[in-house]
Amino acid sequence: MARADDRAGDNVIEVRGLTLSFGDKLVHRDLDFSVRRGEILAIVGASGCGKSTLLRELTLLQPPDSGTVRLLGEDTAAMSPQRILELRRRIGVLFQNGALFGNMTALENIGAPLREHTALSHRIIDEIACVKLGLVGLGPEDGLLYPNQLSGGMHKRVALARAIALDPGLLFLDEPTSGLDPLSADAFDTLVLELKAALDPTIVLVTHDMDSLWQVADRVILMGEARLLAVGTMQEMAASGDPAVQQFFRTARGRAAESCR
Amino acid sequence: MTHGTTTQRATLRLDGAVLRCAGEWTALNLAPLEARLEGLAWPPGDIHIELGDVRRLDIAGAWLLHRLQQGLARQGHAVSTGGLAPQAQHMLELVRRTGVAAGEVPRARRPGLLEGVGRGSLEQALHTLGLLAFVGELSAAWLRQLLHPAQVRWRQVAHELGEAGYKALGVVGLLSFLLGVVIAYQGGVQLHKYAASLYVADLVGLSMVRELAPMIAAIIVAGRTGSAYTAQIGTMKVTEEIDALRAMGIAPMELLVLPKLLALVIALPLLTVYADIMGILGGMVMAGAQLGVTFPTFVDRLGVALTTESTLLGIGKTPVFAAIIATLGCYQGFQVVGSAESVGRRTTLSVVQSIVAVIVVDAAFSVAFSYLGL
Ligand SMILES: Nc1ncnc2c1ncn2[C@@H]1O[C@H](COP(=O)(O)OP(=O)(O)OP(=O)(O)O)[C@@H](O)[C@H]1O
Ligand SMILES: [Mg+2]
Repeated sequence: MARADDRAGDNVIEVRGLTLSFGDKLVHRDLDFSVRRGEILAIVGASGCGKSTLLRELTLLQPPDSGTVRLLGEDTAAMSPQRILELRRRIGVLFQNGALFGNMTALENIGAPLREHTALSHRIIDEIACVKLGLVGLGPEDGLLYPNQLSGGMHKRVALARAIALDPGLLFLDEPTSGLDPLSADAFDTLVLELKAALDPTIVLVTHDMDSLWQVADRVILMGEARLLAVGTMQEMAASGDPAVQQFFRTARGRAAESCR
Repeated sequence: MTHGTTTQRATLRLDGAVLRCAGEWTALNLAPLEARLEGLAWPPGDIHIELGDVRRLDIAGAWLLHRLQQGLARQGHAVSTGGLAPQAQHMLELVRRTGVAAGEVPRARRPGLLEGVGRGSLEQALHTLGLLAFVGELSAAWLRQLLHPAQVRWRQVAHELGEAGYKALGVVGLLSFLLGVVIAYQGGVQLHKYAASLYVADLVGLSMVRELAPMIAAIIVAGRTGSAYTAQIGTMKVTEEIDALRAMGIAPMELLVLPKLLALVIALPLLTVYADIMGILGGMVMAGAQLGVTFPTFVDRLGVALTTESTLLGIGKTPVFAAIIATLGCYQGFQVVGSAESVGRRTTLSVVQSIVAVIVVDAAFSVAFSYLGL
């Protein structure tokens, strides 16, 4: 476990004893981990092991049964609603299914957080939205499409552009590259690295994409059996002797991605 | 970085031909800068933008800077920048590479007045045609099932009956009881003046049974059940569940629409009978309290005034109302495209159209009945 070297002041997220179950179904018990400032942390695990649910808890959308989540050094359970609103402006979330607003065009979707939280003129907001659309690899003309007119991959990219609309210091991304073609997935990895170089955000990323894991993740958390199976860098994971870790990373796909390095 | 709670404001100051920028040029801080930039009087000639004191530059900040450079260059100034930290330089480069130019935001084309009227009319015409096609398709499916009653999804029908009928008993009962009370009171005051208080039974009985009970039941069902049909089918359309049904070879018409129609055609007449009883009960209670007409007297008079014919005429209209409500509700559900907002719009339309249609058809029935001398 990577707990020994966690210094409280440097952690953007601290999770202690997090437990959640839906009815009889235990999702996870006693999770302990931290996310350090400026790092890209990847969460991996089998489908249905509770990764999206964990993100919902970290973004304060799903209250846990017990345990604490500290964001930016503050205990979220003790925060006033006002404070939570303030905090949310500095957090960007990409939902697994995109969750774009159906009655707005792509451009309006991306501009929505800016329109709500800043007094910038609509002209500038639309231009900034165009820039973000360009960053995720779409042309300005795609900005006029409504979500039901977007392809699956475009949907995902617009949702990513919306998640980074306020240039948040803390970004949660749920499977950003699933449904993207390999070229776009590579472009996503590059974009994340460029954003990191320019803005140094902290990113928590759920992904099944082995290439992304090798390319962008500083550390990886492997979830399973309702707990954390392993925490460490990809090199450590690949070298691990733990059968559960081996089973996950030593698949043919995992090895292919590793050998490409 | 900006993880701390205190954020530094962003500032700019024009100092001769040097624009001095400082602070955190981030999305949440930019609004005042935009206004300041609009109002600046630029001196002719070279402009230098000094960025040494900019602590942080995000995409929005970089864009503001980039469009400023673009704008100045377009006005013929030679622009130089200085002091930019490598990170910020990187950000600016990222933004520049997207190739977006200031003022070049794509806009949806707005149709002119004539085009708008034309498109609107065409849409209305297509809408009417669509409704006719839907009714046709529905009738065909209905006939097919009549020939093969075993194929009717009776479980579904029973479920819908519970939702549309049983669960509406409370509100239908309460409202028709109150309606009976109001009619008895308003009519009773007038009848009392002519010493004809006893006829309050005729008044309440006939108006309830022939007009008010069918109407109030239909309006409640349109608001309660018609709207639910639209919202359900509309949401299924947005989430592609309708397409999934089609792809599985299940006709949405037979799974979703026919059971609803059948259930409503059964439920509304029953609800109307219930509304008849509750309304008359309300009138009877009021007549007893206000006019001193005892219950036995009221019931005796009711027996004379209320013919089987009147009752059946009232109830006979309701399957037609039910068919209208179910058809419009489901049709509007299938018209939903794309967004949650569309579900809301279609639900409103379905309720409004159902209620209007029910009242118009009721008026038509009245004319027809009076013509036939019923
Ligand atoms: N609202 C809910 N009520 C009951 N059970 C739920 C709810 N949300 C999630 N679950 C259950 O919790 C578990 C974790 O779900 P979650 O969506 O977090 O999985 P995941 O790890 O993100 O999977 P995937 O990789 O497929 O996206 C699943 O078994 C799911 O059935
Ligand atoms: Mg998930």
